[in-house]
Amino acid sequence: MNAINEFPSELLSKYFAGEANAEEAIEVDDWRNSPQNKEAFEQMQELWNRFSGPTSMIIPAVPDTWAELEPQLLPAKAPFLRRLLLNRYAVAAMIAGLAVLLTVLWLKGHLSGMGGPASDGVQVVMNSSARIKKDVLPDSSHIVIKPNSSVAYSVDFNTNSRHVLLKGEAFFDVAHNAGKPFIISIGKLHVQVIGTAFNVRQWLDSSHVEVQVQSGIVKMYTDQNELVVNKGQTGLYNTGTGQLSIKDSINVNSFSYATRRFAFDNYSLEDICRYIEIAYDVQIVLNMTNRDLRLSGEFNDISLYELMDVICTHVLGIRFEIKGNTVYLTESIPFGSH
Amino acid sequence: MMFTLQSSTATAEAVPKAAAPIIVEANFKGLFETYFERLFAYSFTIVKENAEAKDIVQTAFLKLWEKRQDMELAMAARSYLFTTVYHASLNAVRNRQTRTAHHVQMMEPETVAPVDSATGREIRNRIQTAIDGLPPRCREIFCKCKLEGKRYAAIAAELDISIKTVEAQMGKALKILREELADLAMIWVIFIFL
Repeated sequence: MNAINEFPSELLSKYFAGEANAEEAIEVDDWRNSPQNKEAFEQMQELWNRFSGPTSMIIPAVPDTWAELEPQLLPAKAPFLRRLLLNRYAVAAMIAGLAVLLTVLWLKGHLSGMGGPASDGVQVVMNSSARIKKDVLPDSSHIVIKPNSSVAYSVDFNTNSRHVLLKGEAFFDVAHNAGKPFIISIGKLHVQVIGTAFNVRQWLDSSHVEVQVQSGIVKMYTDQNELVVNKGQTGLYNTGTGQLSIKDSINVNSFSYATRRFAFDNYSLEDICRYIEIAYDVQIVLNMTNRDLRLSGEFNDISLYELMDVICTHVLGIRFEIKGNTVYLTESIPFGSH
Repeated sequence: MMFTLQSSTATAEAVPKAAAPIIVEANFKGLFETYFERLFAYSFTIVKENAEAKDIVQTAFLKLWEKRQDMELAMAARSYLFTTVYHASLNAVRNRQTRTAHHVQMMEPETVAPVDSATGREIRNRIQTAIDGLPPRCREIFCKCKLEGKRYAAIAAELDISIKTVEAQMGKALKILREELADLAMIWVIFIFL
């Protein structure tokens, strides 16, 4: 939007004369919202109305008008979360922890063998391994679950809405479905998805939940307040205070485990290796004396070999060797020596 | 719209609801409270009637409510509201049976609603003087619009000029009047609230 400081006479006269289309009216709205323009706008409006025709504008009182409108708004259906919580199995699972989750899973598997899914069953994708785990939800959304984490959803997921419960950390690549909101719950915090790819992380000490949005938009909300997080931003929820705050950046590396996209800004080789290990499910062995090598670079989901080639051969000047699931890094032997 | 607090290193408090793309349902009342007056004012500029403007805006909000699950829409709620109000307002004007499409009210030279006081008269005189002081073409177009209530397209056709020219002249008029009456605007506002 240009020139907030300029006075857009043409636009404003068009607006006051009733000749502005919707786009122009929105431009005017933007302009008059700016604090320095607010007063000028109101003066102009006042001045213009002084020349007015037969009727002068009388704005109805907002609370009264709202009171007229509200009864006509048909109520929404009961939120899915309540239904899920009322489900006996689900409640038991959340209280009792892992063992019961496993039991539920077994029960459901047992029951569904009799034909037809139990309408009050809960599906759990659990990752208690030390590696990342990938899965696809019934709506084709992709999730990547970090170690010691789990994602649970009811069997009627994807009927009216898509609701999952998260413990730990996972990366969500949500299939677009305008009619069915995708909601992730962690305790009292809910994250509603409008867009696509983002990472939700519950800190290890459970003191915070962090949502980094790679693309799209999500809304974080509790009973008390809410926060919209856009692409490139990080939303932070403080479990103790219930507060929501926003940071205008994301660290793509923290969810590189799911995307294999990295943005290293003068990172040490050791840190880089840690990210690569998780993302590619390999082990990296550093057979080097000089460990204080640093690197800057961006990588966008390339093969392991390419990645190591760029980092080692071209940038750092070290050697690498991939043997099965292990990558060995050694210093280069200088030319001419044995 | 933008977040009001931005910094790559600082953290900011949760953004006021009206300033960010919203989920329609959870935020509906807030939406209403923020935008009702502005949409009303906008509709009024077109339909020039209070009751009609109110109906138009209420209906627009109702329509938005009915479409609240549409996620694409949620991101453009403001745009949807303004567009709906725009079209509904134009329709209302078109559909008027008993009135002509534009208000043809020949205003008296005193174009301001008379206020009985020395200050009121003085203000009226100043406004009139300012209008009289507009460059001829500019004044002609301004009066056709404001006094005769003609739409831009009609003025352009009548004077055999382009609509763009009308827009430009109206902009010029507003600019000049604003400058001439800048102090007056302040006085007037104070006068109103006494």
